[in-house]
Amino acid sequence: MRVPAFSGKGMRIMRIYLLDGDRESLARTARMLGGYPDVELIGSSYEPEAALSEAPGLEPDALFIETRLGCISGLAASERLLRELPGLHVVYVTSSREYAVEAFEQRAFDYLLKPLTLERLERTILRLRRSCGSIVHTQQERLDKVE
Amino acid sequence: MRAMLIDDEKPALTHLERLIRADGRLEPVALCTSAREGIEWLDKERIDAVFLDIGMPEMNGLEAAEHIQQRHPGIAIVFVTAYSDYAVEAFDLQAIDYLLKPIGPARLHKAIARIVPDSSKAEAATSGLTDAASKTSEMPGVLMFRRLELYDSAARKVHPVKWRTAKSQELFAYLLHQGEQWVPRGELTDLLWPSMPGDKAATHLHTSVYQIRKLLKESKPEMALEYRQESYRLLRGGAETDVERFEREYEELIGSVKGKIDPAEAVLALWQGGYLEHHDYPWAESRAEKLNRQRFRLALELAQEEKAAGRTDEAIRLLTSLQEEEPYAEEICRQLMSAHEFAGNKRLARECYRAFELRLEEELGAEPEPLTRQAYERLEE
Repeated sequence: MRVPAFSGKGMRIMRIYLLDGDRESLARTARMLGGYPDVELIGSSYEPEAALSEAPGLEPDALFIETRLGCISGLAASERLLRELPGLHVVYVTSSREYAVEAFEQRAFDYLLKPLTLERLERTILRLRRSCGSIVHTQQERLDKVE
Repeated sequence: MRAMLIDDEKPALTHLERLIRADGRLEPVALCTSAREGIEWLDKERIDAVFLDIGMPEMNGLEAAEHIQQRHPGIAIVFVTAYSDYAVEAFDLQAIDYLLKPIGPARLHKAIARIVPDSSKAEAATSGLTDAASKTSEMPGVLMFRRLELYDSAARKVHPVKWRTAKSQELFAYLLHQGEQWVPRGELTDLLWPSMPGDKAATHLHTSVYQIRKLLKESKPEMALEYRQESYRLLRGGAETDVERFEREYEELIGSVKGKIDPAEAVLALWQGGYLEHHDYPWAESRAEKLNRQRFRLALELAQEEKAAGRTDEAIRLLTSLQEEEPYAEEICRQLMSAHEFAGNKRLARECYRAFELRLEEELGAEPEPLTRQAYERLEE
C-alpha cells in the first residue's frame, strides 16, 4: 500500500492524472490544476493507450478525462482504470454533454464542461479535498491497526 | 434514513414510493406533488434524501435543488426524470444520482447504496420488511453479475480488490463458476495459459493461487482455496454468490410469482448486468445466456402478475424497460399491448404494435409472428 503523501502544512497532496486527446485543452487543464498547492499532476497523456498502461502504476487519486478520445470513449477508458483502481475519483472534463447520464451511472465524481472555468474547477477541487481527505483517514486507521 | 419524494405526477410518486419501500433502506416519509410543498416540509422535518422530478410547473426540480442545497446542504439529492438533458446541471448541483424514468429496482438499488453506504442490518430489520424480503435485501458476499466483486455485507459496500494480474482474477472467477467442485490442474493451465509450455504454465498457476490465497486471507477469511490430488477447489465458507442466489430463488419463484411480487422484484434486483459480462470470459458465455433467459422469463411473469394485481403502470414500466433491451422480442410486445389494453388504453396498445411492426420491417426486414398480429387484430374488433 502506498503511504499517502502530505505537504508541509499537513495538507494531503492530491495526485491527479490527466487524459485528453486535445493537446491544447490538456495543457489548459494542466495549467489550471497547477494553481493548487495541494495538487500534484503525476502524469498526463493525449493517448488513451499510453494512459491506460501507465496510470494504474502511478495510483492517482483522481483522473481528469475527456469523454471523447477517438478510438475509445472516455467512459470505457475510465471504466478500465476503475477496475484496477477502485477508489479512483473520475472527473470528466469535456466538450460534450451527452455522457453525463452514463457518468452518473458509473458514479463519476464530477462532470465539467469545456471551456473549463476556474470557478467551476474550484468547486470540484474543494469536494475532492474532502473526499480524498477521508481516504487518508481510513488508510491511517488501517496503518495504526497494523502497527 | 428518511426520504422525501417530489413529483407533480401522482402515479410516478406512488411507484417510486413502492420501490423505495421494497428496497427497505430508506423510509419515504413525505410525498409532495410540488417543489414548493416539499421545501416547506424541509423547514419543519428532518429529511436525509430528496428524490426530485425535474419537469414540474411553477418551480422546476433544478431550481428546487439549488434552493435545497443552500438551505440544507447535507441533504442528498437524487434527480428522477424522463429527460437526459439536465445531467450536467445535476453534476453542477452536486446531486448524488440522476435516474431516468422508468426506474427499475436494480438501478434504484444502486442509487440508494450511494445515499446509505453503510446502513446497518438493524435498519432493514426494523423497517417492517418480511423475512424473505430482508433476507434478499442483504447482498451476497460475492457478486458475479456484471463484474466480479467481493461485497462486504457488514460495511454494506463493495470491497475494493486489487488484482495483481488479470489471470489470477480469471482463475478466481473460474473456480467460483465451478461451484465448490474440484477442478484438475491441467484444466486450469489449459484454460488460462493455453500456448505456454506445461512447466511454465504450472509456475504461473502457482503464483496466481498464491495471490488468491493472500487476498482471501485479507478480505474473505471464511473462504479457502484448497489443493488435493492435482486439483483445486474454492470453498466459500457458506457464502453464496449473487448468481447462485438468483438461480435458487428463480427456481422457487418461476411459475408461482402470483402473490409474491415483492420477492420477485428483489430477485430481479440482483441482476446488475450479464453474468461476468464486464470480463468477456468465453467460458462464461453459455451460463450468461441461460441467466439472461431466466431473468427475462421471471420479469415477464412479474409483469403479468403486476397487471393481474391491477398495477398496470408498474407492468408497463417493467415491460418498456425490457423492450429497450430486447426490441425484437415478440412476447414482450404482446404483453405490453395487453397491459395497455388492461389499463383501458387501446390506442397505446395499437401504437405499441405499429411501432414494433415498423421496427421489425426497417431493421430486420421481417414481420411480427401470427400470434402477435392476431393480438393486434383482436384490438381492432
